Amino acid sequence: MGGLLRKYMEKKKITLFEQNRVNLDSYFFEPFQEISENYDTSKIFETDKIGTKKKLPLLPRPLTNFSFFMDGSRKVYKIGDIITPENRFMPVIAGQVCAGCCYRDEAGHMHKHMLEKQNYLMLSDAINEEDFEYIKHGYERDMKDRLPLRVEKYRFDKLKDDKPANTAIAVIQSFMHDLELSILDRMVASNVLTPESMLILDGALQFLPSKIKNPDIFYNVIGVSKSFNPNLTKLMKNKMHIGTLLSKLEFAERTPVIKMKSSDEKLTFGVWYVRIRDIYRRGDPLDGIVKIEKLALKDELDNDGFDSVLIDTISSSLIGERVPTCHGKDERWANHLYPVYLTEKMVKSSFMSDIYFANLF
Amino acid sequence: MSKIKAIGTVSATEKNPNTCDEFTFWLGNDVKISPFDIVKVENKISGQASTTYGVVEEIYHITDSPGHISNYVSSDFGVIGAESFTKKLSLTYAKASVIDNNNENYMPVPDGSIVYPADAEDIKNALGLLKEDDKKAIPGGLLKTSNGVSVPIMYNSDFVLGPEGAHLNISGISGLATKTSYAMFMLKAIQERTDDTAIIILNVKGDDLLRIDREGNLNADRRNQWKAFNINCEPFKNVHYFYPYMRMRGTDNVCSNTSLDSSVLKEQFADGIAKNYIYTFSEDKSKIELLMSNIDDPNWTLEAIFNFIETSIEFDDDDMNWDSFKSKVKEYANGKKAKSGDDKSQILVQSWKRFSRLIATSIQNDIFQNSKSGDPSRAQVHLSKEVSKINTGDVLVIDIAKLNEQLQCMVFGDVIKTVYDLKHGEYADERDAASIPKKIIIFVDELNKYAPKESPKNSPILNYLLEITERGRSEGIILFSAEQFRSAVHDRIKGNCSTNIYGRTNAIEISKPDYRYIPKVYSNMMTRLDKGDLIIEHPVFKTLLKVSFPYPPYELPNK
Repeated sequence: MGGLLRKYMEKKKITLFEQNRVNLDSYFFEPFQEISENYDTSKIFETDKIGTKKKLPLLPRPLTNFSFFMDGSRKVYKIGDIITPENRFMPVIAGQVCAGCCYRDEAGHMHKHMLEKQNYLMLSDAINEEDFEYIKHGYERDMKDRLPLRVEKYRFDKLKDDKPANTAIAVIQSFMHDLELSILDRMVASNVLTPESMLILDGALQFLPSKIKNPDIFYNVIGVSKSFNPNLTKLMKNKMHIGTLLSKLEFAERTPVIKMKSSDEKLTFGVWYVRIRDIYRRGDPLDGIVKIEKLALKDELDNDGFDSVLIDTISSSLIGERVPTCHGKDERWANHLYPVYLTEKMVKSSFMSDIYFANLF
Repeated sequence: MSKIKAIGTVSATEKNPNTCDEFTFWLGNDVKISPFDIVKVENKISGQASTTYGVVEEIYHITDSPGHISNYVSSDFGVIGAESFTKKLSLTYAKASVIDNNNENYMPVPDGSIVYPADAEDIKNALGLLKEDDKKAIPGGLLKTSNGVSVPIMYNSDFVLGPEGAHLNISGISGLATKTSYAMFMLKAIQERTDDTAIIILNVKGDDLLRIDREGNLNADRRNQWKAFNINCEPFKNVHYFYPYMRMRGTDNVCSNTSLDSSVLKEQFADGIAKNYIYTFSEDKSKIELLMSNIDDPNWTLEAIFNFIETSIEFDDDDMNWDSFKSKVKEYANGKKAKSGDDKSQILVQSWKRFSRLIATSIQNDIFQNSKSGDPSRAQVHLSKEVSKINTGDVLVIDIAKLNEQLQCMVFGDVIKTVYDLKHGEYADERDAASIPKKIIIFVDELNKYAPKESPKNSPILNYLLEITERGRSEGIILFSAEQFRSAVHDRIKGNCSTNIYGRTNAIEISKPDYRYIPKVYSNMMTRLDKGDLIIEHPVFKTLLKVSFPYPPYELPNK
C-alpha cells in the first residue's frame, strides 16, 4: 500500500520507512481546552450582582432553548517516517476528521442535520516546498478514487511542542474545528438557529478565534465543556483555584459570568459554570459541573456584560438536559449532555475502520 | 417490492451474525409486527436476484443503556416519570427464521437489505400452500398478519389422510384451547372436500357433538368466515347418533344415557338417525378384555383369564348371558371348580377372585343386556355391527359422555377394533370390500385416557392405537385425537401424528420435553393464545403457523 507514496517520495530523494500502521489516539493525551487565561475579574460580566453563586429555580415542566448539537472528532494514525534530503527524521501522520450536527425534534428524537468528513495526510514542512507541492498534487490525484484526501504540512517547533507527531495531530485537530465552523456558517445562512432553537457546541469556543471571520454567527451558539482545568487561578480575584469554588456549587447553582479575552485579544467571551446534576451522589466534587462559554457580541460589549436573564435561561435549559444520561456508556457521563453524546456517537460511527483506513496509504 | 412500504432493515453484527437459518432486522418507527408474521427480503448473490422469506420469531426492544442502574440514573436518580428533552436512543428489532428462498439461495441475508411484509401470494409461495381449489387442499385455518393480510391455510390431504402422512393431534387446556371446535372444523372440511372418507366421532363431554346435523345460529359475519375456504356453512350431513342404552326412567320416555335434551333426542329417534347401543355376552364376549384395558396386569393373569374365556368350552355356551357368565366366573373365584377338580384353567383362585370383582363392578351398567330387545322404541343395536356398516360420507357420533372411564375405554376400543377388523377384511362375508370407505377417520377426545404415557404394556386399546398410528395411514384408518396435556400421551402415538395442533396451555406443560423442539417464543406464546387461536405444525409447512378458524356451523348446546 505504501508503494504509491513511496513512488513520489523517492522521486524527491526522500526515504520513506513504512511500519505497522498504528492508531495514535490512545497515545495522544488531550490537554484541557483552555488556551487563554486572559480573564478579567475586576467585575462580573453580567447585569445582575450575584455574588459567588446563584441558585436557579427548577421548573415543574422544564423548557429548553436548544435544538441543535454539534460535535467534531478525529482519528489519527502513524503511517511511517521519512528522512529528508537534509537528514531530518519526521513522522508521516494520517487522519480522519469528521464534524456533525444533530437536530432534536419536538418529540425528542434526534436526527442527523449535517455531517462533514475529510481525510488528511500530514507531512513535515522540513520537505522542500516545491517537492511538497509535487507530492501533494500527484498523491491527491492518484488517491482520489481510493480515498479522497488532502496532503498538508505541519511545522514542528522544538520550543513549543514535545513531539512532531503531536504537532501534526494538533493541526488535524484544527482542521476539525474548520469543519465545525463551516457547518455553523451554513446553518446560520439557512436561518435554522434562533433564540428558541440554539446550538450547543461540544467543547470550548476559545480555540476558534483565529478562525472566526464573522463573530455574529455565534449569536445562538454556546460551547459546553465537560472537562476543564480546575486549577485555573485567574478566574478568581483571590487567586483561589476555580475548582475550590466549584466544589461548593450545589445542584442547579451557577457561578457568575466571568469575562475572558481570546489570546489575540480580538474576541471576548463570557464564561461560567453550572452544576447540572446532584452532587452528593458522586465521589468527585466536580462531577455534574459543565463549563459554558458564549461569545460576547455587540450588545454584551456595549453593556459590558451578558443579560443575567439570558444566562439563567441558558443555565436552566442545561439543567433540564440532565436526563437522560449516558451512564454506563461513557465515563464522563456525569458532565456529559445526552444529545451531545448521541451526536458524538453519530460522528464517530461515520469513521472508516482503523485497519481499513490505515492501510489505504 | 418498492410498492409495499418497507418495515425495516437487516442488521448483522459481530456478535449476532445472520445465518442460513435466521436473520435479524431493525424496525422503522411506528412499525407494528407480531410473531408468526411473514417477511421478505431481497437476497442477491452472484448477480442472481432472489427473495428470502422469514417468519418472525421474536421481537426485542433495546436502548443504549447497559443496565437498569443506568436507566435509574437517567431518570434523575429514580424519579418516576422524569421528563427529558431527548428520547433515549432505542430501537425495536426482530429475529426471523428463514423458511424459504424462491431461487434456492440459502446464503445469509446481507446486512442493510430492506425488509418488507409478505402479502398473501408471498405467504402462499413461502409456505408451499396449496391453492384453495386444489383437489388435495383441506382447509386448516386462517392466518392473519399484523399488516392485515389474511391467508387461508390449506393442508395437503396426502399428509393428513395419507398415504404420505396421517393422523392429527390437538392439545390444550379445556375450555380455552377450542380443540373440539377445531377438530370439527377439519372434519366438516374433509366431509365437503373428499368423496372417499367416513367419520366416526366420540362424544366425551356433555352434548357438545350431539347436534352436528342441525343448523347453527350464526350471524352474517360468522357465516362469511367460511367463504374464505370455499366451504358451505352448513351442518354435517349423513349423521347417525349412537347412545348408550339406559332403562327408561322418569317421564321423558327416553332410554338413552345422554345429556342431550330429550326433545332433540326424540326428534333424532323419530328421524331414524339415532340408536341405542348395547353389549350382549353372545355378541360381545371378546370385548371383555377391552373393559379392563387400563388395569395393570404385570403377571399376565388377566390375559390368561381372557384367553381361557375365549377358548374354553365352559364359556362357549351360545345361551350364556352376562348373569350366567358372572355366575360361572364366581365358580372359579370361590374355588368351587378347583375343589371339584374341574378347574382346567391353571389360573390361581386369587386371580379369578380379582377378575370376578372387576367384572361384577364393570358390567352393572344398562348397556350390558342379557339379550337384545325387539321393541323398536328401545332402538337397541350392537355398536360394532353398526360401525361395520359404515359407508362413504357417513358421520357416526357415538356418545360415551355419561359412561364411566372403564366403559368409555371399552366402547372406544370396540370402535377402533371394529374399524381395524373392517379394513383387514374381517367383514368380508358381510360386505363387499369396495363398499368400505377408503378412509375412516376416528375422532376422540381425552386420548390420554386410552393411550397414557404409562400405559400397561398389554393394553389392547394401546396396541390397536399403535397399529393405527403406525400403519393406519396406508390402510386408511386415520386418528384425530385431542387431549389437555400432550405430555400425558404415549410417545409413539403422538410421534406418529403428522399434524400437531397446539392450543392454549400452561407454563408447566411447555416445560416438558415434548415442546423442546419448538422455539421458545412460540412455546411461550402458547400460554397466551386467545380462545380460537391455535398453532399448527404440518410436514408441508416450513414453519409453525398461528391460525384462527370459523365458528362451528352446527347447533351448539345452550350454556
